[in-house]
Amino acid sequence: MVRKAFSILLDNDVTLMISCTNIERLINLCVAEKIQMREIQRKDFTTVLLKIQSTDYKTLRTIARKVHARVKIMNRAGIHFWFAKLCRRIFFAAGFGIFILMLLFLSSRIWSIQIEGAKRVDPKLIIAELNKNGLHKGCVKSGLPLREIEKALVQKIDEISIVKIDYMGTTAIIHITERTLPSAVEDNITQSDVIASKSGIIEKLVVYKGIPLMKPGDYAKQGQTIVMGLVSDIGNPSNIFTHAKAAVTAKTWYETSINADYNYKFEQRTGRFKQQVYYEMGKYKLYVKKGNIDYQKYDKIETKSARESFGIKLPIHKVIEYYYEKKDTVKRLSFEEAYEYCMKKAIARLSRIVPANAILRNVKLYKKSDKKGVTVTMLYIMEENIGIEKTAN
Amino acid sequence: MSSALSANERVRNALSRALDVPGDTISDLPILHVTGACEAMIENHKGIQKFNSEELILYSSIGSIRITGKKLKILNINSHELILTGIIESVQYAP
Repeated sequence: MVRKAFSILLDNDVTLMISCTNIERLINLCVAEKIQMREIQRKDFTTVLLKIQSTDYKTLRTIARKVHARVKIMNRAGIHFWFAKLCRRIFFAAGFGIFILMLLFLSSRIWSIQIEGAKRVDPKLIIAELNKNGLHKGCVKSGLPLREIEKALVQKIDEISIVKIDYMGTTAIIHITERTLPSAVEDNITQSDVIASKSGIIEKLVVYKGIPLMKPGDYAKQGQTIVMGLVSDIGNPSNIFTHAKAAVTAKTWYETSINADYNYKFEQRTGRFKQQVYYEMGKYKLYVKKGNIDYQKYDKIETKSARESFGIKLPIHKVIEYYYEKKDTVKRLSFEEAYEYCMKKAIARLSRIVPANAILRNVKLYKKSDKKGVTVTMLYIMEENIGIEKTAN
Repeated sequence: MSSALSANERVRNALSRALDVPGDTISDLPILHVTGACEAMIENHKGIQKFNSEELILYSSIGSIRITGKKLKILNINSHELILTGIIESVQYAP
């Protein structure tokens, strides 16, 4: 099959249909002129089909004229016919050449990276490490030292045990086998105390190891030792230092104070805005749309997106800037409005500082108003674990 | 058949016998190789007299050679050799 395909490609045969009243004479003349004829087949009384070499065609035409024969080319096989045809069509040939070059260019590069088997390791970390070692989207496949990259990956990322990089078309497949790391050994040897991470009234104290220096109901200051890392027996004068452990639940509090004027000043957007669009390459900017920003006060919102071509990040960014005009506005607030504003602010501020594991037990609120405005003081009473281990010096 | 040979041919035949070499090397006699009934190779032909899908008549030094059959096709032809394919039914010599 392959041989036949190659012979079709490489042969330069011409299949001819010759019409003539004396076919035999024509064949004899061709034989005399040493024209190699093959597969001569009589179709009817005046017509014959035959194959000759393309180089003999001109000679045959001369003979055909002598015997008043009509020659018609039925088929042309061979790469040189195809090439000659191509030469007559320059743009087609150029397009075909570009297509082949593009095909070679695109198929010789890596256009996607696929990571398999990474359960605990962050794929972004692997990609970053691959990029450092030269394997990135758009890089040439043939020049990459895969074994070196695999080694580097194993050395840099502890969780990885084995790495195998394969290519599937234009995709680099990274097969990862993760290492089972031993669990962290609990430190029971180093002498340490349990101290208060913040001030509070101890409500519950459970000591696992060590000697408690405080009891429930005591006020513990921030940094004060609650449990000492020491073990001693009654009657035994010698002390053994240990790693103190305890759960210390204490009542803590968080306070904030917010003030709001009745003449509330704020900046408000007027509704007018201007837009600027440009392409940024290093320090150069090419403006597509430029706006004259003459606002005294404005909010600026900028979106920046990197340009990509065939998966390769180009050093060009498209930047869109929005300028929203603002103006100073004064609003007269009622007592309720000012109070509500203070409450919202206080809740927002406290929710930022209160730890996530703390439990809210009580809220106390103090409000004060005068001619100018309202002041709200909010107090959160929380319950949380304040005991932290501190290595003794 | 020997009576049909020209003086030139008779001399050639005598020479080949005297020198003990195969007759076809010196003489110009036609040689026919027929493979089964599907292919025939004719050497030392002198041209085609008539050809169609049922009949091929060739000139030769001893007269005409007529090959009849069906679906006859000349596979290859040059000045001294002709290969014929198809279903060959008969081969006849005509002086």
